[in-house]
Amino acid sequence: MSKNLKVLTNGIIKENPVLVLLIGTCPTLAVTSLAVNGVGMGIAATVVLVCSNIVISLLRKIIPDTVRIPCFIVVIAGFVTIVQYIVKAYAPALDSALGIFLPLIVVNCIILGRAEAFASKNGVVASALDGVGMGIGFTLTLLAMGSIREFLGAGTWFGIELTANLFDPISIFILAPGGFFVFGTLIALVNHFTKGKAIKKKEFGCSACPLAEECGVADKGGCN
Amino acid sequence: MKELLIPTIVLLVICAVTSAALALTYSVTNPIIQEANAAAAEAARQEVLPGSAGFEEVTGDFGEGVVSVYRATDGKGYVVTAETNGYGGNYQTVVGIDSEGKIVNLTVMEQNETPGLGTKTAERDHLDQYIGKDSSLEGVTAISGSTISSNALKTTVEMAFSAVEAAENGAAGGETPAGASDAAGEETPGESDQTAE
Repeated sequence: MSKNLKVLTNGIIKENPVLVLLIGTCPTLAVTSLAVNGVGMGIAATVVLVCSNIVISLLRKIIPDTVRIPCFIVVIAGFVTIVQYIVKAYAPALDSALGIFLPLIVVNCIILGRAEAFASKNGVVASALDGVGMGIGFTLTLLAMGSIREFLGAGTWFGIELTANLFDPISIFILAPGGFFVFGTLIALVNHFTKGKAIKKKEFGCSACPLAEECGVADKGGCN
Repeated sequence: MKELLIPTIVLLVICAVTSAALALTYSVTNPIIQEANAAAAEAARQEVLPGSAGFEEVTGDFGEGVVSVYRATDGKGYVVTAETNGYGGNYQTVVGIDSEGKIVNLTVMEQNETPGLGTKTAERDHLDQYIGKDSSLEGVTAISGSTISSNALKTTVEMAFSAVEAAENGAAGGETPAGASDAAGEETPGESDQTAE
């Protein structure tokens, strides 16, 4: 059981998808100008992530290796579209807030990345927990970024006016440059608290290359 | 042959099941979505031309960018939805123009302008200056730093005025444009002193 708990908590700090693995950065930067948008996106992405992880894990023995990417994408796109219809029907305000970034969850690196790296190689319960953990990490990151950017850039938090009328907010925080700045600062913070040990140092060389199995010269030291 | 067949079949089955799930979700949610859209449009019309008993659509070619033209059934005026390109995408406004050619109210339905800058053109403070203006839009000012957004808003209002003019000319013999009575400012819904036909 503790192994499953480890899988779950992995995605929250130690292997936080956005701040450590550095995947899913596009929606992170795009929808965090308001805290409520960030949380909405996080929840939608988590739903898709958990569902697709479960389905792909169930099908992992059936899907042949040659067509695994198209199969993953069809499953993910199907879930995203279903979430889109449900959001449009029951939460239209969230739909107009997220705009194009809701259908773009299909190409959110986190979902395809976890499908490839985890769900296609592990059991259903573990995959579901991984999805939940990664989703929680993603949502918390979006919440943190959204809160910081909204507070500094607009003086509000979830729409509640805090300092908006006291002094002029620093608008650049809700624009792109501010987003990158907050993002970089959060990555530095997480790095500091995990003492840089969160991710094993990347190995460069043929053993780390994803094409190593198919390449003919991998065991001969590479292409040089 | 087998290496081609099995992957193909697996992919085919997965696609078929996914399509079925999507069709099911669509059939359940689409009626709700259409209803919500219609309700939102009706609410917007009521907001910009308050007190009207109902609206009927006026069909015709009003030029590019005019999404819809509605005439209040009690002769109170028109509600026009017009859109144009703003700074960051589509800029769509709904304008209520009374029978004397003055703006009653307006609201922005869709805009993708820069938050904190262009989005200010969609706020009440900026929109309120349009209330009461006629088609000359005299005295309307832009927001400094958001010229394109302000111009987009102004353009859609101008489009609304031309559409109303076209609708009035096109409705020859239909509606008597209000010369006569005090339709503007009349709050009681459904009551009208002027002959509607």
